[in-house]
Amino acid sequence: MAAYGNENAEMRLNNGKKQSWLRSLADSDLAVGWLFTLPFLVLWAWWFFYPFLQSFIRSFQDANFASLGDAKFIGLQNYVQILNDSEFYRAVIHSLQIVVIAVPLQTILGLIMAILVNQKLKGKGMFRTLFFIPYITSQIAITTVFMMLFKQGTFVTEFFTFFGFDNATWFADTRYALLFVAILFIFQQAGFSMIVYLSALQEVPKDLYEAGQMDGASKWAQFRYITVPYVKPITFFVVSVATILGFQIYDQIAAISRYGALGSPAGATSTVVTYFYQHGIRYMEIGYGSAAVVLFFFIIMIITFLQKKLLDDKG
Amino acid sequence: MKKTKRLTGMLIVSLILLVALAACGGNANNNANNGSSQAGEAGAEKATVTMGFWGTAQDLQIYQAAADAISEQYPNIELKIKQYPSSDQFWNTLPGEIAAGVAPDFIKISNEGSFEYINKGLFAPLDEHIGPSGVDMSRFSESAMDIWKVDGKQYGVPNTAMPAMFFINEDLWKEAGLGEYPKTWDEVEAAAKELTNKDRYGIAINIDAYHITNIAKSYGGDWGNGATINSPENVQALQKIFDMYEEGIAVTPKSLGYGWDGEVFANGKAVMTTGGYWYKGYLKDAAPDLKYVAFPVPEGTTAGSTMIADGYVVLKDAKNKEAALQAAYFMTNDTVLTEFLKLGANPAVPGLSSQYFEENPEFANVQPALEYSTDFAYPAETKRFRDELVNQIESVVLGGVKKSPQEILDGIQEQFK
Repeated sequence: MAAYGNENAEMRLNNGKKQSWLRSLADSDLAVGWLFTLPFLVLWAWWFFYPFLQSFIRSFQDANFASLGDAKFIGLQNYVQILNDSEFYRAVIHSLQIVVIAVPLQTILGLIMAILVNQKLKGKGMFRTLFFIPYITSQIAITTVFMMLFKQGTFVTEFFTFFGFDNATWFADTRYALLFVAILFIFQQAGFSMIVYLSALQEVPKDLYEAGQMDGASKWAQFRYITVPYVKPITFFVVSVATILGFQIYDQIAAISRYGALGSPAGATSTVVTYFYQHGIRYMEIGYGSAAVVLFFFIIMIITFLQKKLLDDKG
Repeated sequence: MKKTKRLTGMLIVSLILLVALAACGGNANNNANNGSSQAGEAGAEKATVTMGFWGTAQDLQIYQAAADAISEQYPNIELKIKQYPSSDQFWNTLPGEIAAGVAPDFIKISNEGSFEYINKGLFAPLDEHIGPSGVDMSRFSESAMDIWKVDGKQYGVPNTAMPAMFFINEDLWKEAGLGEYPKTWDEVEAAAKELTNKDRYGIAINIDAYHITNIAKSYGGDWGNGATINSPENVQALQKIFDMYEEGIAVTPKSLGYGWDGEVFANGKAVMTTGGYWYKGYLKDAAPDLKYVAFPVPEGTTAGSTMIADGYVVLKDAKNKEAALQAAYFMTNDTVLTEFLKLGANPAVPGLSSQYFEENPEFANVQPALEYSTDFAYPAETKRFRDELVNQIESVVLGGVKKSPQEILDGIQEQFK
């Protein structure tokens, strides 16, 4: 009986030790922080880091999908070849053009829409929904509708003739096809920017505007000196996200090129992503395609860094 | 209380993590089990074979019925059908699936893209499996077998073979008061001038390798698997295409906002076009009242066109190649081929092929082309070649770049020496 009692005491002691170990772990902010972050980290590592690492390794190989087992290490040859390919530079320029045209426009448009739907207007809920719908609609569906609208002879192409454009099928014309892609991007992305800006605008303290009004600040001055600085961190977020998505634009181009070569017409809509897809997937040169992706990664990284620096300096 | 909540939270997070990881592991196992089973070797066990294809809903119906009936001839095979949404999806997804080991065991493909894959070793040569699997390849016509032969090795089970065609909208032709139908490209050009007005073009020339190749062949040209890209015959053919565009009598579907030539034709936006047997099924749905006549591709300097064929190829990683070959062979039985015959496809089996023109009288004019139509002979880097050809021609037709056919083809030849 006594021995039995001792056993129980020992078990209680052990349980106590276990509980205190768990409790001390639960007490540690660092451990809890890591544990809560762990699911994301594991999935991120599995779905993003590991594939990127694979791409990085492949970028130094002469690797083909058809015979991955025969991949050979070729050093920087893929990179050298890409940097000597005029098509790559053409693709980079097109990507930059989309970003340079579309990102500022969608940012400004998003902010304007957010300001509008932040007013005390009748039916503002409906407008918020209407502006946001394109963002959650399938890119292919929107592209298909726009392709019908931008056909030669429609009221849309007719309307644009007032601005000096020819009445042509935009996505089949090498002069307008890239602009068509940029318009598609702006149309979709502005809704997202609007929602993000809207949440930021609702955080701006009302008394700042009241103080501004009392000091005689015009509406423009209030916008320039209160709203813009207040939403600056959001602007950085909106611009960064739009830049990355602008560089990654693919679905719209694939839809335009449905029955032709990717980047159609005549490569006028080729971008860095289509360049990668063309080589890495379509031509099965996964080593070469991976090198393009790695270069692309660094291009985006540098541009995002420059954006941050620029916005920080201006602030 | 707060600590207990925290502890519970930690345990839940750990559990989620565990489940997520277990799910990843489970998925990997499932993938590993995909594809054909080794049942053929085991004897009594059933071999599961997967067939991949892209095509219409009607095609799927025919294939599904065949898959349900396969056990009558091959009781040891269970056949699963995998349909891809489009040809692009099919060709772009397949390499990744092969690399990941989850590709179908055999696929139906056309001879337009097969050479590249054969050349890259993605398909298994069938010669060593033909005997053991007991399939009778002698029932296919020799010309159909040859299409799937590379370096003396048989890579495909022939299914259908049909020459390219030239379509004319009968009503619009008669409305324009034109007489005999054109037989040469010069006659086509002359007729197209008469037929073009503010509402329509004389001819739709889709800037696509299929259509370009047909015109090249009608001038005695050919790509020669990359050796004769800039031949004088090909240059002459491309010049004719450019002439018709410059004269404003030809249109590419894209310029009108259409996806392909069939849409332009069905909507009455062009009176003539090059095409293929698939027009029958398409026009039946898209423009049931449209009256058309079909001819062989007009002559440039000679009678020539492509023979578009489809067949079944076994993938190099199929685990049970003999079962895959048997299943592929089953897809060419009389019942299946007769169903496809009704949809306008000409079976590669001579016995059935003789019924083809009775079943499809609208294609009777095309029969002579069976004699002289040949394979596409694209370079081994087929996709790259087709993209380059299309891009270069589009740059002139849609981009206004000033390049002669000779310059264009010389440039492409340089890349595909």
